[in-house]
Amino acid sequence: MMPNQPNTNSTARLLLIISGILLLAGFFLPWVSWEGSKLAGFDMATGNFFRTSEKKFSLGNPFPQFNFAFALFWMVPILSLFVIVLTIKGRVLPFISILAGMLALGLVTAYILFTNILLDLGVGRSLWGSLCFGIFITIPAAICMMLASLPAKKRWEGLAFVIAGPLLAWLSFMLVSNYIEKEKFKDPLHGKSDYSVNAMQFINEFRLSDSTANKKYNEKIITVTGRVGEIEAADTTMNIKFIDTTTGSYAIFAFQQDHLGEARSLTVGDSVSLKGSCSGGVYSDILETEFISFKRCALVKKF
Amino acid sequence: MRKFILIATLLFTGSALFAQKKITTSGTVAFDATTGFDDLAKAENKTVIGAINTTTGVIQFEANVKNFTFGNPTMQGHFNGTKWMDSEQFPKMTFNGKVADLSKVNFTKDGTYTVTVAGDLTVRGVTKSFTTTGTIAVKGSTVNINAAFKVKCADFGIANVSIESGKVSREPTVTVSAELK
Repeated sequence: MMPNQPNTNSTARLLLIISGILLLAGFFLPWVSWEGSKLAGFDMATGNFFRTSEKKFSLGNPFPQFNFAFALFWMVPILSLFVIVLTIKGRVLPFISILAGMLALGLVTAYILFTNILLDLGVGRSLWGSLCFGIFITIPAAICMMLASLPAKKRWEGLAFVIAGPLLAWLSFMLVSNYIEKEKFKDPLHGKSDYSVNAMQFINEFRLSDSTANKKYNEKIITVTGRVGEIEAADTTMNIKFIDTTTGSYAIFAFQQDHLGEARSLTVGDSVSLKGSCSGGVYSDILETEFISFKRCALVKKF
Repeated sequence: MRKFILIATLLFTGSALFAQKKITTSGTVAFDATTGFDDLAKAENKTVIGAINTTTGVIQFEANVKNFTFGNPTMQGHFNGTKWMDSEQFPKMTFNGKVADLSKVNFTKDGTYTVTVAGDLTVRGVTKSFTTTGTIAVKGSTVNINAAFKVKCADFGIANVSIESGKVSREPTVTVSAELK
């Protein structure tokens, strides 16, 4: 329950104004530094936070459909401004101070936890080394703003609000982390292909320029139609190949256990459509030819 | 002089005819970097090109790094990222070596032979001399190669907090199996 008896003490009001100014300024100062990219609090609100992590470290927002929700963090400077103006006018509204503080501390927690994940990926050497002065201004300013808005008797209760923001952020982060850790690849047969191509034309694209073809097809789900050139056992599974017999270049499809029965039903010469995740083409020095690999493959159709 | 050239040509052609290169495009390389803290760091690649020359003992392997398959999408993304394998920059890992004790192996007789292989392992653009033991199993005209060994991540410029904190093994176990024909 939100405390309804504001603190009108002059020291507390001065603290509210100072903490409001610091929280407002801190929001626009760097909070973290990831290999030279300095990110402030407002970078989460603008979406630049996940844009940067995706572009530089291939770690984007796992739920991009909720990107719009990050605009909520614009409430931190807006509410801080309210607190400053209202306090100058002699009004103290604890609700506004507490909401601003909770949002700011929740955001700080998210920045710290995410930076820790980047450390696991090899970005930076230590957490402390990755934090910038903006975050060290924001933390005390947010706590001070929350506690100064409450009457002295209610300050212990106020600590619950101080903890609530980071706790909520931590819980949300753990839920997302758990989801990501347990996530599996979708079956290739479910969902649309990014490209549907003819096997020989596809192989030829890589032969002509594998850098261009790799940019186009890497990690895309592709349906390739052609004639089975070779079937090879690969440990306990099977690989199906489309081969350009004039050059020896080939595309190879690794079937996993789930679709092994489909691979076993095929014979050399069958006309088929295969679907899988393209790992790109590489020139083989052993075979002196281009080979294009696919993972997580399935049979779409046998003609 | 003409005689000498003729004999030399015949000898060269003869040895080339007897040279036997056995190849696969479906070799398997798997690695396991799991620890007590994290069980996601393991993957396998089943489209590895492998070759052995039964006359010279030369052994070669080539793998498209991006075709290592993980169970977890995020882990696969990390593996290919710039801080780990950097597969965009270094799309291939290779091994070029030789069976050190080729005389132990009789490619005309079925059996399993334990051998030492020495050569250059190239991962992430870094080449290191590498020696390991493995088996060569001969069955008719087919040669099966199997080996299991450890590699140090740091040897190939892979060093970060995940490894230092023990979430990912400093020395993943790599297993190789290939049926060459």
